[in-house]
Amino acid sequence: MSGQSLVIPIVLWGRQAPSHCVCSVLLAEDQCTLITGCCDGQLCLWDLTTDHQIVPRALLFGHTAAITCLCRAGQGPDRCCFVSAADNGEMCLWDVSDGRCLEFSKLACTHTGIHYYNSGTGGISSNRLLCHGNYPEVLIMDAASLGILHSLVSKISPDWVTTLTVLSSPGGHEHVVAVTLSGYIKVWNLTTALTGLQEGEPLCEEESKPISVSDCVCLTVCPYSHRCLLLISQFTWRVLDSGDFSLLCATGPEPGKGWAGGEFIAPGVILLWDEEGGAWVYRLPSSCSPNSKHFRSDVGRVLEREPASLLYKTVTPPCDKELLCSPVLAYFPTTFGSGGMHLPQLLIWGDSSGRLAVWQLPTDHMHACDLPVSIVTSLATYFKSLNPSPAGIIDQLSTSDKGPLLITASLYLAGLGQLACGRNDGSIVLVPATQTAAIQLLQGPHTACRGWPPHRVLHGHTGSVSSLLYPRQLYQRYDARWLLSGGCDFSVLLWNMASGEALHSFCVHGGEITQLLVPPEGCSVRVAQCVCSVAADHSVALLSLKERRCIMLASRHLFPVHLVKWRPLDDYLVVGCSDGSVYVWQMENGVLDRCVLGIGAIQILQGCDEAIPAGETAGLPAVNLKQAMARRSLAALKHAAHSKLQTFATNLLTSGAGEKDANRKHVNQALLVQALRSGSADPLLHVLFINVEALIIQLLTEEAAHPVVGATSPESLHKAQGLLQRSGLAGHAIRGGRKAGDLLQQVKDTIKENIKVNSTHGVSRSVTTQHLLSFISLANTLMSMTDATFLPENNNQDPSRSQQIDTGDDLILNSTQRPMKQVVLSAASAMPIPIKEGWSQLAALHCVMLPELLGPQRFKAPLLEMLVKRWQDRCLEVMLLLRKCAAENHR
Amino acid sequence: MKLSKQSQPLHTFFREDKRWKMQQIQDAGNHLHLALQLVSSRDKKYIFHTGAEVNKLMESVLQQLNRARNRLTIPAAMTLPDLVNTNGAKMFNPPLPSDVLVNFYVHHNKLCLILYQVHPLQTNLNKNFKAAGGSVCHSPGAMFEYGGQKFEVSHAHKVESTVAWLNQVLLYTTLALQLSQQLRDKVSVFENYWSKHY
Repeated sequence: MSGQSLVIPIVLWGRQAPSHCVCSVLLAEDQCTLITGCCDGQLCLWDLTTDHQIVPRALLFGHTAAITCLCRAGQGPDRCCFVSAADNGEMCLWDVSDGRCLEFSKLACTHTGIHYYNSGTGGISSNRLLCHGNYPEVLIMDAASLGILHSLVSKISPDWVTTLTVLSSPGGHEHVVAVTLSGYIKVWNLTTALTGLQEGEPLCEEESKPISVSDCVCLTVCPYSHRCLLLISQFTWRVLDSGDFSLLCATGPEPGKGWAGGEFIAPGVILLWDEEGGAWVYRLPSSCSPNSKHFRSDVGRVLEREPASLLYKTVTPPCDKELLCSPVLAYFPTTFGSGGMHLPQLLIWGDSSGRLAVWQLPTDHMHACDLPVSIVTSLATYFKSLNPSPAGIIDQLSTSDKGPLLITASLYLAGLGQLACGRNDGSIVLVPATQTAAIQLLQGPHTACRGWPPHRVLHGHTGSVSSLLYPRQLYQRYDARWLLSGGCDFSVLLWNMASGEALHSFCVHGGEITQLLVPPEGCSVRVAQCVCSVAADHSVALLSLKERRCIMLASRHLFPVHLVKWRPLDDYLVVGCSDGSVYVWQMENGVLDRCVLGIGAIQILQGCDEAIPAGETAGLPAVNLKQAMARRSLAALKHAAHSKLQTFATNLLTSGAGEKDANRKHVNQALLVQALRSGSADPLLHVLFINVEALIIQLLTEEAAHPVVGATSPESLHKAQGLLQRSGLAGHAIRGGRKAGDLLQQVKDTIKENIKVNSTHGVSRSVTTQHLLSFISLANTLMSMTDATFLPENNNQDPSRSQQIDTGDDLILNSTQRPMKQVVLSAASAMPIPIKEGWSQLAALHCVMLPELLGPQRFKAPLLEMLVKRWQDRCLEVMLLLRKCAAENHR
Repeated sequence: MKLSKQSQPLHTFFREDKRWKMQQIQDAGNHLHLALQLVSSRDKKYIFHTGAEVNKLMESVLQQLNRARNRLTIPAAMTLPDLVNTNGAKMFNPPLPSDVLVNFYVHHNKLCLILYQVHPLQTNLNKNFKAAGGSVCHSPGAMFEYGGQKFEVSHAHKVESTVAWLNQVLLYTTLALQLSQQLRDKVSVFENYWSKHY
């Protein structure tokens, strides 16, 4: 929400579900939301319904690297949030209910584990996070601000902490017990750290003891007796006395089995799981039970004794696909849900195919045979079960029977209003963006006919298209007809967009083309007419579009090319590789100037950013943004908007785009299509950003420029048509925008992929708030216009614009909730009544009547803080409405 | 391992009773350990079924190897107040004068020791005071503020000593990185071919 303008994102997911390689699982505090983190950095929220179904709710984009751990960050139903940490040191605090990112921080080091700790000292409960990872300390953070409060350091052989747990001792003191990578068990007094220390002061350990176990993966304390610790390493597991860490029970190594984790699930009963995803339940011998007279009777001669007895094991879910990496398992203890409902103990599995499986552990811990899985679900099966299936942006243009072709590359040509999509059969489709978007979002007579809207297909590649570039979009020096495409067939094709013919095929690379880039301003005349292509064989080439040949091929890189930078004044092309090395090439003659590693490499890359003359810096953000967009990589996009990470769900990108739109000169772009890739091998999904503010401005300018409808002179008609053509984007976007506002339900079907639940209205309060705002502001604007209807008889100038007030209203019916049917029906049937009244009724419906119609339990009030943020909105329409809304809400 | 440092008439030695913990070496070692753990996580008899599986594994191995090497080749950029806090001066016998800051780190195969001599700035002459950011090696003239007092670096002295086994570590890590990358590239070529034609 930090974006300047009100922007609505709509996601067109496409038929294929994002690959969600689960690497971390968490059951939220509210007991009905499951959170999974994946290797590509996204988080997925799943609803755990009371009838034992798991339904995906939202996919959160926020991290740029694999998620390493998830942890709850609050207590109580009112503060249901969680923390996620990524491999590159990023940490995000999220709100579970509406998927907003509340806080973001980035450290240089990676966290591999986070523990939530609530210190209820003196009646003030403070939420703390204990973080450990690839650094020798344990960091205590504030769970609300993610700021570091204290660090627990070691004097004796400090090393990375691999796992830790909090132990409450009889004296009322709480201790952190941690195991280091080199096999030391360490104890810190947590109570001292939290109460007796100045902020930032380090605390040394109280005890440090070597244990003869390395590679520990998990340490957990028995929640029932607090006397036993379960220590699991890759090859063995042991039970220790928490008082003096003496060994109570142990197992020898089992060949071919690597333990991954475990928990106490009842007094004397433990659950262990291994790297293959199998889980075993053991009963510990009586020497491990503090209540038994045999407690500690085996100390010193544990290894001769018969270890724990196996009670039962779980059945792993059937695999139809080979897993790419080990599945993750997590255990969640029994809790009392809302209304005293007793939820069973759950063991949850997440794997690389995006699948979740849940076992409900029997309460008596006895099970005759292997425990079967109770729920299995995955994003892919959910996508398949949807009807209608999730829309892709150009689904209707595929003629194959096996479902639409996958989109492997896409580029939105903002200036032309066109969308170019490369597909996996090697063809490229050029299609008007608003029209194809409208087809996916609106129902109408045209949706039935295939091949609409008019489009152009370019055939040339033999493998799938991997990247697209329209150089004119970035710099005026290029020919407006040139479009470039790179494919998996190793070739780069130059197209004439106007005629659709392939002008030239550059075959210089020995691998798939991964990126197409444009040299910046200031290069030599020869280079200025080039584009730069990067291929999977680690080569970079400069392809001259004028000479139709490759003028430089830099191919000696040992590692994949990570980024390409320019020093135009020195005639250098700077190539950064994935291992951190930097190669500097002379563009004119293709000579490798130097190859640097380490600090030097970092300095060279920094130098490239600084080398841009001061006069050009103003345009720089936009250039970066454009390149980011051209590369269509989420990472790059985020980099361009790196301060913008602090947003919610898909709106992350929204605000980024909003911000960047502001940077750009033409703010009045009502629609922006951005392609996203959830995993590196996934087909693209598209996000439509509808900028409500820009839309309103466009509408109003159009209105002002419009001749009076009554004027029938052919000249003015002609003019109007011209205007309409020019502002065709606006016209179509109106529909898009209206849709966005209208289709609370349907839009969210695409926006948040999940919607079969009744009260979709409340999926995310922030998203709903935004929708309401934009919808009402649009309705208000349309109300103030003279010709604001899509009905054919009122607007015969623009057939493409006049499709559907009827269908539109039908959609309102479906979309907004059933009880409203009558109201809107009357609005629709009352078309003869003044149009303005229709719009005002629509606005009133959303503004005032929604709470009553939906009922108190289903209506979620708009977030007041978001309304307040927009209080001084630049756009008068939005501002006025907002005040009205807030007043209404307040009442 | 003993280094002596003369700057003007200053003689000092590393204290025998205290060990200087080289976090960079420990981190690099741990990253290598994790890489080894990843490689040996599969049984010798294990058969990989898909190229994607191999790629996924190699990707994490490469990442760990790369981090290990980066820890040695890219020393942390320290700000001058950070150096005051690390108490590096206490590690010497006889102790260093209080106006000397120490930075001790590994850079490639070299062990580097930098001594900064600082002098306080007059409070009324700090119109063009500009706090220096993080850097591995600050040049004379860098300014910083600590405890309300402003200081300026007047001299910076650097000593380096080559460590032979670090050279070996770097060499073998680089070799491992290159081999892993080659394996990964080859597998992905076949993987792509396979997935597109079958």
